[in-house]
Amino acid sequence: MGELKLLIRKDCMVLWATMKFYLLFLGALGALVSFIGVSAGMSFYPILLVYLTCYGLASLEEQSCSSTLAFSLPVDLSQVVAARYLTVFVECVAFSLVFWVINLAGRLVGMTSRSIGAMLLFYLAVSLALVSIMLPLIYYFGVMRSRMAIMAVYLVGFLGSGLLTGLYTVGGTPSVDPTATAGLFHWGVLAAAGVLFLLSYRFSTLVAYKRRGL
Amino acid sequence: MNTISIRGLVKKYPTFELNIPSLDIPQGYITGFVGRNGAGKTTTIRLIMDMIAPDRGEIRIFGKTMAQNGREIKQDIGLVGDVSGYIGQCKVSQIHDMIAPFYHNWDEDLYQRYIKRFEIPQNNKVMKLSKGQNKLFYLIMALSHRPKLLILDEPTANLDPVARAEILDILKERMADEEMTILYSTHITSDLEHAGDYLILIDQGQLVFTQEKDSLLENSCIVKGDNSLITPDTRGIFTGLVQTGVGFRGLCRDAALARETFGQEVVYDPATIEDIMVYTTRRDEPWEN
Repeated sequence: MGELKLLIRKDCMVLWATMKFYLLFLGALGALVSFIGVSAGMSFYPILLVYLTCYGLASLEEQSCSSTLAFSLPVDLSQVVAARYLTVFVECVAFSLVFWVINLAGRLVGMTSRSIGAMLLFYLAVSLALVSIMLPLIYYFGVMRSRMAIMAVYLVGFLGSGLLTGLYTVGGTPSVDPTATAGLFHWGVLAAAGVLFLLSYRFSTLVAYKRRGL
Repeated sequence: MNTISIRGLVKKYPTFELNIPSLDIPQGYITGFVGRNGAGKTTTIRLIMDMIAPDRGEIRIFGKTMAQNGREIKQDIGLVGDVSGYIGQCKVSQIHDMIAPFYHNWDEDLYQRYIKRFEIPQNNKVMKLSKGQNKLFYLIMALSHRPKLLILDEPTANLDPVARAEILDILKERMADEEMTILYSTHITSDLEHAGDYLILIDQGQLVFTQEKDSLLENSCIVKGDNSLITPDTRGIFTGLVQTGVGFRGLCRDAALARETFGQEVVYDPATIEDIMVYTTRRDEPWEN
């Protein structure tokens, strides 16, 4: 097995060994909320999971001084960073798919397949955007010092989404047919998040090598 | 043949500078790496493991540099530091499953033999292991891929004598079974009295000496006597000298010269590694009568 696969496997095993109860709890909570039919409030779901896995994993590693382990294993530093990005990418896809499955069940309370599909793309984009900001902050500032910056990112995210919702309500519904533009919009957002994710990976690799010199 | 060769190594921090002009760790021997806390031992090991980048200089391991052959070199290195780096919330068996596949030469029989022998509970979380068990597990993991170079950074710190003895027993066994080079960094110098072959002393980031242990101990002695015998001329033969109201005690690295200088007027005691480290690195104020 390649080193990259082994590193991803290691990260996933750590996540499962340490956080399975949180993940199962959040999954069950998401399913419950969806079945009740309050799908509009589900935005917390991928955001919480991404925070839990991305920051939580880094925090666990910091507590256990795992940088020692990463440097003693027969792998390159670039592989360690790449594996972390691939792990969180897999997590983002997995969580979005779980969310999609939960919402498919939500069709029972009146949601359309199209809107559920759009949500899948949107939440995948949101998750990727969040980790694209979080991981470089963690690599640059370290786990403890990045905490406040990450909280600020979340605060801005929540305030921003609240502001957008408010403007949308005040302005009324757009005049164009939303179904014609929604697909394009969501794929566009996902593509932008993908580009951000790649740029973030490049930046984090540079930061990881720079910080190694300290 | 040297396992590690260091040339012109410099690493600067705002309050500390490590400077090792030249250092070789011979293949197939246990080399003790001693010095006070903060002397630069761990920094040197971190540089060897490529955890930090040097400002200047070159480190070659098995004749290769980490920059070009890092992955290949690390297949043959076992590292046991003060902390394992294993996630404490994971079970022993899970850590094994995560780490073992990384190594081409992983010896599962050896791993299982040691795990059973030292009764490491495989279903316990790492954080639930005792300090001794934790360090033993860490050492077993490091040895199970049959490294050619084992780097130990304070492996017996904070351990009880039984756990320390177990760790030293494993090391002796492995040294007897196969040709392995061990770099053993410690400030518990008694560990090296029986096990070490060579000794490196580092102080305040500077290499003080590197020498074969037995010849170092044979040639060194502790001299005790009356303060009246200490003159500007005799003071020069001591590597370290402590004077109090009742007399002096000093380390002389040339026992023959000490005997020639003081004859029967003083007492000579054999020097231990601890004596050599203490007298060489302590920074006392000059004594005035």
